[in-house]
Amino acid sequence: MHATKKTIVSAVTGLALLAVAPTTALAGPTKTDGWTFCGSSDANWTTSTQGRSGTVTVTGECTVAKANWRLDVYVNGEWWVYSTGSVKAGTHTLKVVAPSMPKPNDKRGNYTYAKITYTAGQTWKNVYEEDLGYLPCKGCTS
Amino acid sequence: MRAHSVLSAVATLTLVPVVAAAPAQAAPDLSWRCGEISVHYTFDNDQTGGWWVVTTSMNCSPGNWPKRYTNEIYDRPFTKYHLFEHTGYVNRGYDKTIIIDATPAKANKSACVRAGSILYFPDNQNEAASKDKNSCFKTAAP
Repeated sequence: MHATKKTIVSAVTGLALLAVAPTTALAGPTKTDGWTFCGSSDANWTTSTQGRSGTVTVTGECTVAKANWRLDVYVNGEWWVYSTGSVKAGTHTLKVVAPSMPKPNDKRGNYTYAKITYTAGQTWKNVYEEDLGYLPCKGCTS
Repeated sequence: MRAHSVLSAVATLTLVPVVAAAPAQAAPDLSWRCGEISVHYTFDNDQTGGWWVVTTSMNCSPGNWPKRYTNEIYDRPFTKYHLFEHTGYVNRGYDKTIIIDATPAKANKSACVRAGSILYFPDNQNEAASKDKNSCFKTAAP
């Protein structure tokens, strides 16, 4: 079920974040997302191999002169591929290539979503999730 | 100013019996946090059409400290808010479910959930912890 898949993904993300934020609260609030300086506006999957490989493309926009970005793609709850870079103010396109995709564990395909993390300087971070849904994968065997 | 608020929080915690204040995980008493925000969306349909059931859940602990929650759900490209909720100071967790109609595939519309939780120290109402989540998904029938 769609909802179950999202639960697994949320749990994975939750564990990762707990590991890096033990007693940060003692030092004061770390609300690094208080300022929205970048945002994602769309995400798409394109494939020329019937889903066995493809590219995730995210469009976004930033209001700061320079921001660093990281694009992580999760497939069936598993961290799969990532790319990083930096962008200037204005609209931009982020891409990451998945040279292979797994065999789906759902008849609808590989449940995929992208996580985009923008950072500005040392302190500020904006994180966005873009759901790509179930991606069919003809001929995916492993 | 920051040191004063931390000392106050520590003093408050040590006065509370350990059994009542112990969080679910086996962490020391000196821990306050906002949990991972969970956003679930499930597609359903009948003969009249399709829709998305969108659920946002968040909470912070300790249970008796004040919290505020924000939950904004809007379409993309933006035309309107499906939900725009900013709570006052509450002691409970937050759970909200709304229904969004599916959109035609040609329109290439998405829905975005922008949710946040903030936990405050009980004595001076400074921020103790917070979490944010931005999650978008396409609202065409899958």
